[in-house]
Amino acid sequence: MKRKILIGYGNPDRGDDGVAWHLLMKVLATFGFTQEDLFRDEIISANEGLDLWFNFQLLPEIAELIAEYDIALFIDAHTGEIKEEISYNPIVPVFQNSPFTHHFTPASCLALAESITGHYPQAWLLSVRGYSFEFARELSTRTLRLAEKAFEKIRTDFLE
Amino acid sequence: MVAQKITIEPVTRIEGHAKVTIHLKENGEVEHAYFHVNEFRGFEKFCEGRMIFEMPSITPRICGICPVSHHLASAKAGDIVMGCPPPRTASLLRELMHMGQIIQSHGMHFFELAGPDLILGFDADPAVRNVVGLIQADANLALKAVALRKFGQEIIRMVGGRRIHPTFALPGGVNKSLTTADRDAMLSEIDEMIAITQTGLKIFKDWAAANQEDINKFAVFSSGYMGLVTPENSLELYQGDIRLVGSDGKQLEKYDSNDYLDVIAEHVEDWSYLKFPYYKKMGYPAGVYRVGPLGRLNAVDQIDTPLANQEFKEYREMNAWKPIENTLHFHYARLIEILFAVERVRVLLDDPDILGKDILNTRHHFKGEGVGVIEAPRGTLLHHYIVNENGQVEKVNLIVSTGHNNWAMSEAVDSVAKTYIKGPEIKEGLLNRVEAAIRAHDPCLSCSTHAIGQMPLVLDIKDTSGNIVKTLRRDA
Repeated sequence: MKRKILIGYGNPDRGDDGVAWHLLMKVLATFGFTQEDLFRDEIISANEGLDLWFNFQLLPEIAELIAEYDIALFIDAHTGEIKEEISYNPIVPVFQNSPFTHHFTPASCLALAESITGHYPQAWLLSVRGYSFEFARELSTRTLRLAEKAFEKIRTDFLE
Repeated sequence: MVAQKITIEPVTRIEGHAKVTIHLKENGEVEHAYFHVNEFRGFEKFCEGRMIFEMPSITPRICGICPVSHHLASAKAGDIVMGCPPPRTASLLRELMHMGQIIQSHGMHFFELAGPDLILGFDADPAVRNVVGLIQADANLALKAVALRKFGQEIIRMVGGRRIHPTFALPGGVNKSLTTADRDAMLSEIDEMIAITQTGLKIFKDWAAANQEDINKFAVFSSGYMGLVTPENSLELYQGDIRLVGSDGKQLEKYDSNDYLDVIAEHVEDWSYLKFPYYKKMGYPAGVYRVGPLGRLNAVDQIDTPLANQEFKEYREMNAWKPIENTLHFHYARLIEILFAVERVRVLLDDPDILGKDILNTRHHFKGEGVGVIEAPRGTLLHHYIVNENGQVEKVNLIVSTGHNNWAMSEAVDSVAKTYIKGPEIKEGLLNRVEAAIRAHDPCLSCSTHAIGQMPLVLDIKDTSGNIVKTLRRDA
């Protein structure tokens, strides 16, 4: 069985920026984890062959970690620079620079994984449009509806 | 040719986007360049009404990049507000966590973010001028970089009990002691981390020897310098008075963080949302100063750990013990600080009190107001709370490191633009250098969220009517 990892990132205290957190919590609930703390550990095992990782942002050190997986799904929010409200696309290793430090992308993560280990997982990026980024733990109504659709995508492609 | 305005505008996630605007004269030379930042606001309102003991858990959530710095500064402010100084063991443990933060943040910055600029060159193709290109050039180096950052992250996890959002420090102390096994695990890696850091220093020095001309003309300018110090004016990253020195290196002020409002004021420019802190007595802009590695190593007289002090002496002798003004030496200073932090970890772990069990002072003598200060990786971080008698926060003021360095980043961009733009033709290498000028300061702009996917650098050349006549784009 192929090993899969769901990688969510964003700030759950900033409204829709935390959509990945909400989606990963829903994944855990699917497997009977109702009170799990996504910040508890580096990797949280949801089910045999399915792991979860969550943080505020992508970090270079997860490159080594994801290299051990066959399939990876990155989950994040966007502010509208992507045309589709729910974007779901394969990603390939391409390192992307930024003048502002600590900005690390999924494609960069794959590139680093490949460079360090020679391997990277088959990967996709699931991006959900966010509309409100105020201090809140809840999703906006619009993003909540989108998240429900996004979860269906996760369920059919990664949980079944 | 009419006078033109060039705008470089990376797109970020929320309201905070930063951009660079370059105004050209008619002859193509730079009249002035500006680095604009949208200041993040809202956290003060968010914190009002919260209980003081919640603040060390709330404030780290503002910024996903440096949560530990906010966590510790917040707890320190709470110590003063509640009148409950922490036991010695708690202070040692907090400082240990902080050293982990310094090591991982600085390590990542040099090896993975700024290192490629230096090792692969400013004019290298952006496709390889990154850590992947660095790996291809030196695979071992990249692995060492990952190891150094992991070491810092593991310290935070071992001390705080969890890798992210540690609920560790609180007013009066901490809630977790250190085990002997964890202490020994950290100690066992010190020598390797020192060796990795010294590798980084060698890389920088070799690069500097071959690129002295660039170093001497790349964003070199005078300013004041500020950072925490020990009573003997040694480098201090966790606890101490704040020392401000002038452009000649002579002390202007040495003050308790609780008195910062007597010393620092904030100036407003109409072209930026972010304010410009300055030394009140000298006014603005004469009183501007820099913080962070360059600022700190100019504000101190020595470093109390042997290897770092040796490097520090060599570093300051470059300019005959006058302040180092070269922006690119932020990287050199950052490496020296990593060395200090690693050595300091050993000092802390060798202290028998680090394993103590007296970690929380529960006796309160309520004061109602307090300022917690810490030297975050990027510079001096201040958390100022005013709390009512019920323990509820009524007012919060926070000065972050990037705020202190706002003037310096803009000045660096202006200097780089004037040095490297000499005519109407704008070359790709300019974008690299502008990026490098900003990157040297290691600015933290996200403050709570991050940008997805691309963070393009867009340079619009506009005429004086605002029409875009040319666009350059760096698709990150």
